[in-house]
Amino acid sequence: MENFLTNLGTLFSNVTEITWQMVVMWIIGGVLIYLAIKKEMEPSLLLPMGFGVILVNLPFSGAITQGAEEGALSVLFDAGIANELFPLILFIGIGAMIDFGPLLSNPKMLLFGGAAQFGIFFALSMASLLGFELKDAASIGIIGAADGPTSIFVANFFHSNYTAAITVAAYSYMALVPMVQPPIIKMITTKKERMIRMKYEPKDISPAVRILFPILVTVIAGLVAPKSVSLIGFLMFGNLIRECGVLRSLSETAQNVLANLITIFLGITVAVNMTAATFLKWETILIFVLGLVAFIFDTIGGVMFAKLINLFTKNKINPMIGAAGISAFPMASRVVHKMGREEDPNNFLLMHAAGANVAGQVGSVIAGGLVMTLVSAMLGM
Amino acid sequence: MAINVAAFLDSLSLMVSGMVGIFVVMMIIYGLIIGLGAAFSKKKKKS
Repeated sequence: MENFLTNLGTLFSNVTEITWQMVVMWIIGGVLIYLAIKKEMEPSLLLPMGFGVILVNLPFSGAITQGAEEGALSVLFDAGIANELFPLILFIGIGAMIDFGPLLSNPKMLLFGGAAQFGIFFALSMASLLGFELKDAASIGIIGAADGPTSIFVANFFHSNYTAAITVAAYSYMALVPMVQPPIIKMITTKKERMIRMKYEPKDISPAVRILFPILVTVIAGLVAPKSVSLIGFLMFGNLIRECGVLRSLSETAQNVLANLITIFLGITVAVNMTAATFLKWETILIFVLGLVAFIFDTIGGVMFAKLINLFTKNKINPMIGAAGISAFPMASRVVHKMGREEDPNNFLLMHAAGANVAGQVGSVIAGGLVMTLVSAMLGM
Repeated sequence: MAINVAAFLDSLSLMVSGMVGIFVVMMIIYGLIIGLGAAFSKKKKKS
């Protein structure tokens, strides 16, 4: 009987190791799972991440390395996130999903893909003002790229102390684009501006242009920001597989199987950094606020740039198109199209917005590369 | 964590160089698309 009680005590001794911080993390994990299932907010990432949070916040969890005993999730983290491999491989899948057609038809939209990255640098400056180290401020600013893999890649590149919070913020705000952007757009545009109609003239894009585009963009971005070459290179490699016309099965695999597989591993593995000790800090709340600031100023940057162009051009651009210059695809273009139709049911902005949105995907990766190059130079890395 | 005005001022130069850098790259890609479009539409017309 005594032995039985001792054994029973040993079995449940772990229960006494539960801390309130762990319970808070379980609740956070539960909220992520709830948002993924009930609200369909980036479910492919938030659900594995939410489950991972619970997994790593059990006392002496075997999923993460405890002393000399290696945990499976820690091994996966070292194999795929610490060396930036998972986000890069995911980029092949994303590249294979992107149709650059609307952008190649209307290359002017590229400018909005640049202007709408303003939030990155604004948030970076704000994070510096609030006392974050430059490497962390740069990683926080990248939330404004509205691009999960880029955020993970840059935060890991700088060995940021806040990779987990940055990842959760980046994916959460991407899902919240339909809630974050409309009030900001309405605040800085007039009804008359939102009603501006734009003619869409689709062009027949030659297959040679579609094939040369990803190759040449990789070369250009690589020459300007060499640190971005893997980021943009993997994205464009995926797109080349799509556009070459002879690798249909590889393209489908990259878009579906590869992207899904990596997303599963990425979500659950990012949670390694979401232990109570690393996540439950005041800085996490600040990072979420700064992430929101980044998205707001991305939107403002894009819209104000469109207004600026309108001062000098005859064919006016609907300034809302500028807001679609962020990378969150297709949420941002849908938001702009929907807002356009709310003001004028016969106004179809979708293709213009899609062009700006695709430009935002290129712009965010280039911005990530530039941030890595410029900040590394400043830090002497 | 305390307010760091010096770091903020330093970061402003980063903001300017970053935004200028993005626009330069985007303008080059813009030119590239125009160039590619012109080159391949001419060939199409000729053929």
